[in-house]
Amino acid sequence: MNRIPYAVRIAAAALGMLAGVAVTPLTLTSAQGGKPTYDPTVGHAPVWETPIPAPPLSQGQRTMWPNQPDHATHWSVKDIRQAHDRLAAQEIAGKEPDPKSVLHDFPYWTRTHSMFVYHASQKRSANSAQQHQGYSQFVVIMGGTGTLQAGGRIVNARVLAESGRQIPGEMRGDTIEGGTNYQLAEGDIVAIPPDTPAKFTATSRGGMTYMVMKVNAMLYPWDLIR
Amino acid sequence: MKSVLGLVCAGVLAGIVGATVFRVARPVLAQGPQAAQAGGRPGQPPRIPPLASPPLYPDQKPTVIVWTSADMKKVYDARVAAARGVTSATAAPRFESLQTRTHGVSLFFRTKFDSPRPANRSGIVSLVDDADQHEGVTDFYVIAGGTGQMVTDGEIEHRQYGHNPRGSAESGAKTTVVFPGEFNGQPIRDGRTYDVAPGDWLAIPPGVPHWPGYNPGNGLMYVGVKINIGLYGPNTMY
Repeated sequence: MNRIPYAVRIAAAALGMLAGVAVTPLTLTSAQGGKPTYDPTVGHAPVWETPIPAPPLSQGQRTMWPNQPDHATHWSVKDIRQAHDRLAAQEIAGKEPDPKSVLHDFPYWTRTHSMFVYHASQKRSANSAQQHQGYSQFVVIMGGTGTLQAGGRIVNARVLAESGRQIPGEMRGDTIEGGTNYQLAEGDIVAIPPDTPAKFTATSRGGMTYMVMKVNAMLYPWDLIR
Repeated sequence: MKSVLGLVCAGVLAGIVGATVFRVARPVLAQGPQAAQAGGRPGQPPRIPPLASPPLYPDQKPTVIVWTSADMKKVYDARVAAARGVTSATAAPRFESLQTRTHGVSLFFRTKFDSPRPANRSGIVSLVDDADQHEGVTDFYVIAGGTGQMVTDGEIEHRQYGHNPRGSAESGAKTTVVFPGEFNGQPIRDGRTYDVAPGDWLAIPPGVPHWPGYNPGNGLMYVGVKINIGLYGPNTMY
């Protein structure tokens, strides 16, 4: 031992230290400023299977309005009335009205708002009371007449469940206790704030058709909006 | 020889430990002692604890508003009468507008001027109001009274930044206030012209030129929903 010069010993230790530094991994998790570890099994939001299509993400230039069309869209009152007439005819014929594809360019999806056509039946039991925490509603009556009961509270409210999974923020029930009744007809417009119980019921034969613009309250993932 | 190997092994271990400690500590050291206490980065605001239960919709009134077509017809008749100088028009039902953080609902009425005069925004001498282009707002119109023509898409000629020629409503300043992201001018070139009537809808995405007052007939009234796409201050959305 004594025969090995100090210089060799120091060189050996230094060489070892250099080797140690060299083999230490460069991508330490904690060295990335607190970036969390990506683990596909932890911390992921559940994937909802929904009939509503997710808005496609643009792969091109990102703008302030990433998924809006690049042109204006016009719906004439003639098209709107025809949509109601078709749905009313389906209900009168005893069929289940299908409002999804009854009007061109519907449903209309963007990052901030979406628009859908709905049809309320004259049968009170066929319509549900709904309460949405995640969006405001701007409603335009397209045809028929009906009643909107809004406000108050949903009796025995339950969280909406689809395929056994709960959709938080979406409450459903059969009846509303309290609230105010509004009589509605073609051309009427209604603004319903978020978290307000509402139930539409038709009073005209063939039901009432209405368009709902859902304005996202900005903090909600669209996958949770019904 | 064994002792040299031992020294090499000890050096390797020391190197691994030293490099690991350095790389873990470097980001924290770089933030300085103040950042370590406040939990933020130098030059940035301190970290504020989150609210226990932040509201999803901080400024929406919990009331439902219904605008019936019958009421809007009365409002339209009153607006037309007012445009003709009939004074009793002030007795018309009031249209209750809505303004929230995410969107607003207002009533708009367009008429053709009796004689050429400076347009509302650009000052171009014309018989009608200017065309608009909003980078931060989606417009959705429901035609509520009158018939006429609207033009969308295309390009605005003589386009200029939107401004309020009346000055600042808050400060009372007479200087022109410029609205970034807002453009006005007329006419629209290569646009699409739509004949519109009560009950029609028109969706105008952000950035798309539109000229609601192009041909307002004897007076054109519409309910306009303006949806903030998330980057506009409320005072720049019009």
